[in-house]
Amino acid sequence: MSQCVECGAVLSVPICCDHCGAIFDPQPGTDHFSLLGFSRAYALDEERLAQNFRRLTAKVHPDRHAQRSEEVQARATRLTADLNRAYAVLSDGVRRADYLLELTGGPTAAEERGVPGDLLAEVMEVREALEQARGVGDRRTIERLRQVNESKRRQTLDEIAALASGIETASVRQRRRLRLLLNALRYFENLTTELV
Amino acid sequence: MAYSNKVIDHYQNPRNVGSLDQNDPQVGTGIVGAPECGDVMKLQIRVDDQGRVTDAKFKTFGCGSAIASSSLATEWVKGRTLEEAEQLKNTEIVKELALPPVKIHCSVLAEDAVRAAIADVRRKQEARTSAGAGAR
Repeated sequence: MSQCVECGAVLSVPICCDHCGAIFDPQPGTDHFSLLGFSRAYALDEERLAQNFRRLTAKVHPDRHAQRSEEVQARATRLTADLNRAYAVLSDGVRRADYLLELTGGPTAAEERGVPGDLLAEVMEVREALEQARGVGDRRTIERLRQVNESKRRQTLDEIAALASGIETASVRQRRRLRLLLNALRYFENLTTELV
Repeated sequence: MAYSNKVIDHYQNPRNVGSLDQNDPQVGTGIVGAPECGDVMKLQIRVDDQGRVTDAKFKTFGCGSAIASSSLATEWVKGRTLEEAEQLKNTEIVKELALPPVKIHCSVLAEDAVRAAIADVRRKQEARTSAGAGAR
């Protein structure tokens, strides 16, 4: 752990000093996890995440540094934005898994755009069946499609969580599988909003 | 964000919406998707014995730009040979529809769908040729 350049106290997070209240720009390469006082892992205590976020946001809040130099005020604004971004990613399990995959070497969403198996053809079939069912007002078919989609969406979420939890030791194949599942989720979620 | 008039025209009056028989040996089917938005696009071509695209159909579930891009793509490939159809570039779609930068991926999707449909019908043709050769 590094020390506060202003008072010498040991820093528990890289952006502010609990002892004197000074705030610092994070070192280049500081990830969302360490910004919020966590180690890099999928499993995390969401309660503690929310607490850390609130505590740190209060400490770096621009109002609290309004009497300081312009440089410090600008830093306070930057850090507030950094914290908001980090919290938005880490507090959402899917975004956290996605971020962790990118952070540990990918494949990124840009590198791998595929989905598992024949998913696109299946999604197209569901879309066509939905279109037809809507045309004739077939509520039962729509409900059945909704249930199937919901169960696939849940299965995908479970597998994403399992793979992300083991990311440290995951094989290239497992990492790719995680990306394919993250890609697949978007199609299931779009269907969820359609199947009502 | 405002859609261009051409996008609105293709969106309101999409050309060639529908399906061809996926199992027809002269029909190539391309199904592609954009994971960033969850759009799915199916584009099908029918190819005659001279390798010319005689018909094209599409079904797109997505935004107006994705629908317009695939509608335009079906218009463009009709009457072309597979080699000519393969030359279709997403940048031509972007230009014709005046797509903004955030919608460029819709045109890429349409190009991908055309390529996938061409690859599919070629695969069928090759399978037929080798099956024919094997029978002789």
